Amino acid sequence: VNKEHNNHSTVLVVDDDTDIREVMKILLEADGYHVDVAVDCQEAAERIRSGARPDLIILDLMTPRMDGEQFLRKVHRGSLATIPVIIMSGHGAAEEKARELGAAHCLTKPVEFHDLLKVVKQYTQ
Amino acid sequence: MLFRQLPGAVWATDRDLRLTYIVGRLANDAAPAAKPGMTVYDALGALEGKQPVLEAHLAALAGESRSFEHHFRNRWYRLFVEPMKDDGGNVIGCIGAGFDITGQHETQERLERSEHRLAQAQCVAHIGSFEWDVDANVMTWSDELERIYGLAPGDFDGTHEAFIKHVHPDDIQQTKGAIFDALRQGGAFSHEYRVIRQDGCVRTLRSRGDVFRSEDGKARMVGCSWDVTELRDAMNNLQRARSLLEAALEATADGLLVVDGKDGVTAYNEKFLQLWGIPCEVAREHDGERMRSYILEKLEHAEEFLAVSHELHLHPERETSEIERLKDGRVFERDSRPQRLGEQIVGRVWSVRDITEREMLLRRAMFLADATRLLGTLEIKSALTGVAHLAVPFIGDACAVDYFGDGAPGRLAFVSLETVGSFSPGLDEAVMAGNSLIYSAGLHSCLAVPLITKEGIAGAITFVAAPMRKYGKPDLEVAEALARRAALAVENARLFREAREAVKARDEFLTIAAHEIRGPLTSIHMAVQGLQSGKAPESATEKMLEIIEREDRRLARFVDDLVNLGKIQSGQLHLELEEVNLGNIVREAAIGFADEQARSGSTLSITTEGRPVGQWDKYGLSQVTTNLLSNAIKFGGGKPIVVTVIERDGRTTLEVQDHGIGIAPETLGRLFKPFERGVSIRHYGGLGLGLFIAQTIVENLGGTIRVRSKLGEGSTFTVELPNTRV
Repeated sequence: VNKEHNNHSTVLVVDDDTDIREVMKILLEADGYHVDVAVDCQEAAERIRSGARPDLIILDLMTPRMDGEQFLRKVHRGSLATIPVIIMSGHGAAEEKARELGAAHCLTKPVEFHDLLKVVKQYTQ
Repeated sequence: MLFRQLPGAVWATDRDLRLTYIVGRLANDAAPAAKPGMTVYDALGALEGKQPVLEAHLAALAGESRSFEHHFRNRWYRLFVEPMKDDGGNVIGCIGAGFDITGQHETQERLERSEHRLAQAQCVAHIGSFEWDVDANVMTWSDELERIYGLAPGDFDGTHEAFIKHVHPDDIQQTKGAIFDALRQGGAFSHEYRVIRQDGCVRTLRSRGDVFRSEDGKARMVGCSWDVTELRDAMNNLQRARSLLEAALEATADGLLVVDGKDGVTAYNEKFLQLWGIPCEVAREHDGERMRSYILEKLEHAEEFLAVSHELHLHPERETSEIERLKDGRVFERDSRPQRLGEQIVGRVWSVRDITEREMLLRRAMFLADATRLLGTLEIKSALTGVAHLAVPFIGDACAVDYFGDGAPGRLAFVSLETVGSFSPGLDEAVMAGNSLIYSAGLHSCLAVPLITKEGIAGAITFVAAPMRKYGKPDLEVAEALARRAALAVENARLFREAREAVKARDEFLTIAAHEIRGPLTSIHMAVQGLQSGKAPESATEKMLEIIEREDRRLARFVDDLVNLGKIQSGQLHLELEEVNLGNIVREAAIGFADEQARSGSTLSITTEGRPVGQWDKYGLSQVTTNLLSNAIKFGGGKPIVVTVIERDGRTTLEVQDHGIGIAPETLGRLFKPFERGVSIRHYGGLGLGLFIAQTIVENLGGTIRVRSKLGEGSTFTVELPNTRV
């Protein structure tokens, strides 16, 4: 396994698309990250409320039960707000939404693998 | 002695005119006093006018007797001078006698003066007099009467027949009758008739007189006649003017009243009485105060009327124009202006016009304008509520608005006054069927109008009348006009909503389409790049390839949906019927979803009963099944999914039941419409085409698709198909 980084940062990937979750998990783990996945923001919120503290959250805006906006407004607050969030969305207005919600970065789907790695690296160093 | 006191004198002379005897007061009045022995010349002396006396004496000496009146010293005397003869008949002197007739003379003079004055008066007054001795048939006319007839004095022939000749032929019978009646009845009479004057001119005369009868029964008619032609013309003109005025008064549509300044009624017309309900017998008394009492009791604001009257009493020169509202709902326009005779104000003319209808039309127009303004919004519910408030109390004391905008009938607004109590009108079936209706509900008169739109009956407006008021055609007209406007507003709001929703749906479609494409593309992109770059561990290669294949299928399904939508919308959805086993199709689809289903946590059971084989389109049914299974897995909440395929009596039923999040009741109605979704776009992807496409295919196969669902408990989709097309 080619691990360029060995900082063992934990990345939480939140996306209701199973394949995206899986392919990201495979690729980020291959790059040395510890990857946690959640099927939607509700699950992500539960993880965090149970004490999970990822170094970076990669978030799809559109997920069942709780969407990314609700997550950022209700969960990503206080001390948790220091955790950088990268929004990854297919929505046309995602970048604007990301700025409005105070996300660290926005990646518009379809995402280039290299771009993903670059941004994750930037926010986990 | 006796002769000496005689108011005159008696005397005798000889042939020399020497007085031989004289006695009487007249002898004493001569200067010097006449005494026997004096000549007549001496006795007359310087008396003025003595000449006729001397001549009479000289004539007597010649044998001629003379008698004449003479004026001496302010008195009148009648003198007789005769010859005195001897037995042989020879004149031997004169005998004279003089009598004082001053009193008699004065009486005569007065009579003459009186007659003269009468003639003059008759002349000035144009009154002629007549006298008719009926038995002798002698008729005497005064000069003035002859002049009135155009005759010269003395030209009248003096008989009844001569009089009748002058009478206008048309009036002869009547005149003869009047004369006959007067003679028969006796006493005073009066008659008017026309005469033709000598110059041909026709004049109207009036005669007034008396019939006297002497003791022996002889009749005499005495009277006066005068020319009343001008008077008659003036009277006729006056009558004409009056009748013109009366005709004008009655012909006008306004009620008119003319009063003097002292509560007296000068004139009025029938219309005025009609408008105020004043009985004719009351009006005939011309009592202003009594008539006013009828007016005051009908007015809504009698005190204002009295204030205006008082003001006009103080300022009679003013003109006024007011609107009066009556207790019975009528509205009058009341104008007044002073009545002038020259410069002087002698009364006031009032004109009253019933403007109820005009006022009603105006108020209706204003009401409808206000209603239209209220309805000029897309917030149709608040607009209809506003209309209900606006309509009370104009159209009724209560207004109910039923609105079916959300599918189910419901009372949107109910506004009512206390007069209506707890009564609330229902909704008649006839109204729901699109008919306007006036009906009675207990003591209430009700009026209901449907809101008819192109889409059908969108609701109804029901009015409840004020107590004692009964709805009629005019009320129906205004209610229908209101309903038309409201229906139009409902329609506009619907069109706008649909347009807005269409735009929103298009925007959402584009957003979702992008999302739906970008999701699989992202997976494929990263998987391919991971493999190409060699960053993906070898152990993951197979998984990455599976992901690529799966996402490829997802994209293909997406493209299929779009293609199907295009076909449906352009009417080019063609189904190829062949013998198809629905159980097999369900099983094949389930295999395709095995992976997703496994990852979703849901179990999937498939039960088949009978032989579910029919003449169907294989690809189409595969689409239907795929869409239903996809939804069940997506929204199944990881709970069991039960699929049953049952064939019975030539029909096959496919049921897909999940126990997931369920569908909200308000969403069920539009679930099968294109671009509709049962869940928020914020949480779930999908184009919102699956059920629309499924329904279209099923219906094209002659079947039906329906859904039962409860929020939080799951949904059951049921497809029922005939095995063969009829």
